[in-house]
Amino acid sequence: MVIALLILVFHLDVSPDLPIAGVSAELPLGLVIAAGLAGGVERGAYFGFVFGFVIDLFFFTPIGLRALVFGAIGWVAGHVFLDRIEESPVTAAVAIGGGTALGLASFAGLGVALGETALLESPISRIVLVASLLNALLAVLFMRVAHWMWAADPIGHKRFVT
Amino acid sequence: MSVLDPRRRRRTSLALLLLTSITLLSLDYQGFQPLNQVQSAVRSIVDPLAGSSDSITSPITNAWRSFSEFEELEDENIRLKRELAEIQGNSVRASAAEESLRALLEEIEIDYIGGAETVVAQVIDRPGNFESYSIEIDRGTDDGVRRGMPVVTSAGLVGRVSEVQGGFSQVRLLHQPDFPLGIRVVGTGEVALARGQGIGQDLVVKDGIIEATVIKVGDPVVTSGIEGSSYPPDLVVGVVSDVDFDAQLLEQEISVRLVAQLDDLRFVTIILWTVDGDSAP
Repeated sequence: MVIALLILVFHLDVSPDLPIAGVSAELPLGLVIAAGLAGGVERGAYFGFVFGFVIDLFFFTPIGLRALVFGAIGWVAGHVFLDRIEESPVTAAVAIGGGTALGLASFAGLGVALGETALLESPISRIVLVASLLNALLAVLFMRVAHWMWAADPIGHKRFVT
Repeated sequence: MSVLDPRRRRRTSLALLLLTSITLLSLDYQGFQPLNQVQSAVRSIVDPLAGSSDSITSPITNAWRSFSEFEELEDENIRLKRELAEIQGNSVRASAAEESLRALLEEIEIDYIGGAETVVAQVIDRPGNFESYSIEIDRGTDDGVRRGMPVVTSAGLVGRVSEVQGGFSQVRLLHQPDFPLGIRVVGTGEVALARGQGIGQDLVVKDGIIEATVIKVGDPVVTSGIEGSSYPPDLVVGVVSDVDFDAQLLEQEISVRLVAQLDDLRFVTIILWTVDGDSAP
């Protein structure tokens, strides 16, 4: 929870001031994917849902949109874990980068479908590309944090044995 | 007691999360009050943390910006110097134009803001990667703000309060597509409905202005304030930037350039006025 809070605060107030090519890192999505990769389907899905819901409370997009996308992305990431793909920095980078792209594209697509047409005025391709690359570069860090997060979570450790 | 097999359990978890998300979306669209209370409670915990982190990390972020945006800053510096020179050169003309507008409004008995009480609010900077037609301000029901109240800057109207909670509110900006705004072209008395067309775009009036009405580029535009309107009358909106004639409908289509800059708002003023007169805190 402390990790999630720190990432949230960083995402809200620090990350926007450190843009690369006009795009700031989408750290919460990276952490959700890493949580699924390191923890499995249910941990990834529940963590993604709750974290997405909390982030929803800070933005103008409908409450539940990020919860939906992050939950589904965490679920998908958990399947990659269950398929026993050998964990390596490259695998993690590809999974987190690809997952970020999928998550952001889904977020924008669903948002527009729900009437959030302002999303269409954003440089969506650039956001997806740059944020995915940034998250891929930070993949090792995300994985370390996610492993540490689940190891330090006694309830989750017992409940979600996979 | 039977135990679900892992695959089925995972699918059930996903279905449960999807259903919960859809329920949340549905409740949010309906303005479900407890959800707003949760939002207020969570934000009251996180916002102070975020505020304090800003002061800790600002040396790093400032250093990054000066590194990553050096060329942009240089260009901007040159541009600002040029603009300053232009502004100084035009200041007399600008103040004369403003005086003329005020004089014109007074001449037709316009009472700017109508003496209604106002509250000044700071725009909470919450930049994400994605654009929005809304801004957030640090005033809410605790300060007498109500849903529907008009929001202005010293230049003119910028939007309307769309969501309000204890200590903060959301403001829908005028450039939101299909945001309806009753306007009047000063000097003609012509009343029509203007709509936003997106970020950085002028408002557009597509119908309601007949062929015979003489409208010129540069004519000032204010809120119409007709009965039932969401805005008080005579708030400055902008100036006519283009006039076209629709030969089929025999009506004029006009574009209105907003005088308030919507892309870099720092402070705004909320007029404590609602259409039903409910402005008590």
